[in-house]
Amino acid sequence: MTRRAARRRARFDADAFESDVGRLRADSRARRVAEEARAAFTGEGLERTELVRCAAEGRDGTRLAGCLKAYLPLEESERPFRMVLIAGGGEAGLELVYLAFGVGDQPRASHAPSADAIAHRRLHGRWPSL
Amino acid sequence: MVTLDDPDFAGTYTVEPHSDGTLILEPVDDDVGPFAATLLRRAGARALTPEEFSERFGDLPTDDEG
Repeated sequence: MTRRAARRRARFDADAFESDVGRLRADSRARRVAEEARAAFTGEGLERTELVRCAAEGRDGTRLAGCLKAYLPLEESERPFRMVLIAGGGEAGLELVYLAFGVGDQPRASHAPSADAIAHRRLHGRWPSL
Repeated sequence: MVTLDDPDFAGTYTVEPHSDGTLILEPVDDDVGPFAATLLRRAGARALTPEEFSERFGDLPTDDEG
């Protein structure tokens, strides 16, 4: 008998998700990826193997200890988008809570923050500094 | 949400319940939305301690970005 790996659902705050995704064009790939990921993570959930630990101290000045990250889209080889989750403890046990969505690396000239930078801002109240 | 005009505290805030029964004002940041502490509180959760996080996720690979 095969045993299906345990999956864990994530929780999404509508305000945070809207802040990150609502500004994206309705027909953009980024928006589609984010909304499909939210539907999947709140429905069937995530497997542990779909997550990596965020670096406690990143080269870009971000500090994301206690956070996990999914490279998106999960099923594709090219995965330019990132979703950062924060692990919390609740009455029902472990909770994975949405923290940020964005691209992994923004072209520097774009001046747009990466998913890591948004997550850092939400954790520490300021943008990362090198 | 409430908006304060006081020069020292001008801005828009959400009213959030604190665990001791009081209400606290959380600044609304139009750039990035709610802060992590607010997201955890709304989810009925608290941040894991470093030890708890390591115990649960210490075996996962570390992201090489950032």
